[in-house]
Amino acid sequence: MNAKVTQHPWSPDALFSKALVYVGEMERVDDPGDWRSGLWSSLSLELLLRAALANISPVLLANSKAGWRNTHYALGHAPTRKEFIPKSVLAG
Amino acid sequence: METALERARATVLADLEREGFSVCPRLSPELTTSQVANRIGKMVDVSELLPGSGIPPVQTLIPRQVDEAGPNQYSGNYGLGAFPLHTDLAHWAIPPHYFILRCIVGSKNVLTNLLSRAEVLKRVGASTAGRAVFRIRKPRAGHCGLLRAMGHTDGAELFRWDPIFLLPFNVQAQQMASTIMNSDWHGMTHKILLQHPGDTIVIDNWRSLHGRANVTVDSMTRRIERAYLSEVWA
Repeated sequence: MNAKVTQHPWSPDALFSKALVYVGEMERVDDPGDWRSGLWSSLSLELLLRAALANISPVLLANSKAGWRNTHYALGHAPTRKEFIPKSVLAG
Repeated sequence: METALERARATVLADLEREGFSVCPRLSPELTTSQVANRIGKMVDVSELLPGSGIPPVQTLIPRQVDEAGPNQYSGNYGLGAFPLHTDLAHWAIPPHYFILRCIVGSKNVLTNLLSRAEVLKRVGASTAGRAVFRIRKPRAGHCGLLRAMGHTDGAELFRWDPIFLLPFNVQAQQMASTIMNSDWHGMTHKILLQHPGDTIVIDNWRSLHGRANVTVDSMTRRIERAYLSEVWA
């Protein structure tokens, strides 16, 4: 495996790292009934699911209905439009 | 001389698997670092990965004062003082797996310290290290700047640590940083002296931390060359 300088925001490693941070936030809340525990729990679960999808291919995260540019972005290419904001599939 | 290099190659891989580094004294001093690196493994072309950076495939390391180097370099932070233990290019998504340090002009007292990640994991705890997330000091726009201390790449475990270019982002990373920086690793490090031209160390950058001892006035002529490798030939 060759070295790599940067990490795509939709890469499994990036998403898993974020999930770990959110799990840590969830663990900081003492009371599991506290709304913050539920919030961090759901956010970390969503990121874990996204990481699992990205582990197959980040293309599975691209919201293809919102335009081909999202798939293009998921494949690791630089956006071809300046104001482009990548859209991923919705969790809900 | 080719035979000496071939012999060294046979032991390098075994040493790397056993210790995480391999020391090859006076290894074909008549060859360039690039020639030796290419015969030991596959070189990483930094200039290709970082176009426009001006970083050559083989980098020359010389002692410098703090004001002679930039803040993105260890010399720019520690000058002639000891460099803390770290892994190279820890802020990259996938740091180079191996690198070689090769003596061009040696010194009699500037040691290279090596520490196995296994020793770090014993103190930090594998669970804590596995959950530690760091933030890159200067993330690039459009890219994720969060990195885990431990990861898996192509079936191999990747360990990273750098006290300057990585900043702790969660509790586990804070614990890990504190343990590494406040521990006395003295009795656990291997101390290698690059004294003679050709003296070479091959280091598994995912398994070993390294650091340089302080540079004394009589060692200001020390010159070491470094090349990164993505793999080591069997």
